[in-house]
Amino acid sequence: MNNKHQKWKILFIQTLIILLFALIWEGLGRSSKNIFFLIGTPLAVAGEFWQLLIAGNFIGNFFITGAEAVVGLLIGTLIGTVLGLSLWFSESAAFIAKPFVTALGALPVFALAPLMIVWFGVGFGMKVAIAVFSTVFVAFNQAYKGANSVALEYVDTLKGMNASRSQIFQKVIIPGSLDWVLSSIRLNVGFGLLGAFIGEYISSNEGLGYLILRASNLYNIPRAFAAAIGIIALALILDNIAQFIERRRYTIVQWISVPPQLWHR
Amino acid sequence: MSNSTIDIKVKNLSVKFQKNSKSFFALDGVDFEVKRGEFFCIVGPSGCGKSTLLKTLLGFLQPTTGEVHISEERKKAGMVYLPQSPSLLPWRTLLQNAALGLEIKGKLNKDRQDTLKFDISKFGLGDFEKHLSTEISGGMKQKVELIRALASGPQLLFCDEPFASIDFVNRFELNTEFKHRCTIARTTTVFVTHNIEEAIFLGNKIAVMSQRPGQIIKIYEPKLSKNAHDAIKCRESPEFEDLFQKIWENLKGNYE
Repeated sequence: MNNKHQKWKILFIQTLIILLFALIWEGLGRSSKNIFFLIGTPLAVAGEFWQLLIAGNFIGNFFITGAEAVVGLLIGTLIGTVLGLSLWFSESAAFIAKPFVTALGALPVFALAPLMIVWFGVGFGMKVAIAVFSTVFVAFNQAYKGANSVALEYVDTLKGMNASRSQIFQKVIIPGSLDWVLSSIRLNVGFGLLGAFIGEYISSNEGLGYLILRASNLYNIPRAFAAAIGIIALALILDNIAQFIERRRYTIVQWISVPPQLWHR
Repeated sequence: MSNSTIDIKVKNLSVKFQKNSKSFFALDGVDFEVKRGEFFCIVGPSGCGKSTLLKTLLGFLQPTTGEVHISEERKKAGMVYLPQSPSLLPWRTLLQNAALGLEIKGKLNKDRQDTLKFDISKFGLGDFEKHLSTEISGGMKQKVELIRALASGPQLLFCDEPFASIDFVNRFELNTEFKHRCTIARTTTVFVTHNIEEAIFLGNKIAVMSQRPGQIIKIYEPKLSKNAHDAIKCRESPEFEDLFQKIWENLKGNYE
């Protein structure tokens, strides 16, 4: 009970902080025309938000950015994870590959953005490609570290049963590095969104990034903020999905590494 | 197969370790043979290289000199390692851990799974089947490890003090059950321990090792005339105390 009580108290204080912040912002925005031009007011943002919702295809743009980020992060995480885990099979391959991966991972995606237009055009594919590029190295590093962090005693146990390399991989390495892989998904929610965004900033005619870009070009600050709310919402939703998956780690381990006849329930 | 088939042959085995530019021999000139179905116990003081010997047999370590020969055919048929501390996979439940050996060998079916469940309740773990292995005690884990090892019908069994962390009463029960299973399955077993009584009860042969660098100084063949199948009652055999004294003298000699 006490815990629940505490929860409400925290929520109350958080709401209070938001209200206070909005109040100061509103007051500041109303104090002069110049300041209003620079920061707008919460009420103006709400008005623009409503306008976007009924007339500006907010929902459509929301889903476009969401799709770019999700497709990119799924592809990037999948490729990175598969490559990172499979380096476990060969220590020498890992030693050879490691500096290249670090070097590529250190390259800011923005630097390659113009090339992305040349390679992938200006449409949906280009945004996905940038999102893939920004997530794949994170996933790779997490999976590689995860695979190497698996305790040797578990590997030895299976070796002692004369298990094959691929059995050890399936039953020990994958489950043992799952925590690392799952946390890479969560990290990549942020990086995938960022990638989709960068793509929209370079060239786009739809998406939340496009809305922000056009609104700022027209010096419509409240509208830019209204679109930014969409990004925050998107980030929170995706992060919640990633957390949901993280909590299912036990089920995932079962699917991957335990034969169905041994599943409980 | 004749009785005298040799499954494990170790010839003049030495293992050298390197640490901070100093090297020392953990094992120095170890010779022995283990025949099919034999229960071969190795006793020795702590740090004499017992575990090193076992790891070399398993192929985890390479011999510096000498040879280790293990029957390839028996190895393929089923080799199991029972480590000193239980190493259950933490993301698996008790049942799933117990089934791992069968699973790896592709021998898991309905019948064997039922036998496995029967064993789990026999060892008093029936209520914990669905518990993750991180949620059970150390002694329970060790029992699961044993169930797992026996369930896969091992032909070659390598044990590194598997009962060391188990309480007194359970230890006798497990010892009795363990010997029974190994005998009927004719499992070739190498069993490392520092517990002399355990070795006398379990072993067909007992190799006594010296202090580091480890060498085998004596091999005994216990023949218990009374209740050889029971870890407690076998002590009624006159040979038990006699052999205990002899091994004790051998080991004590190491410290003087």
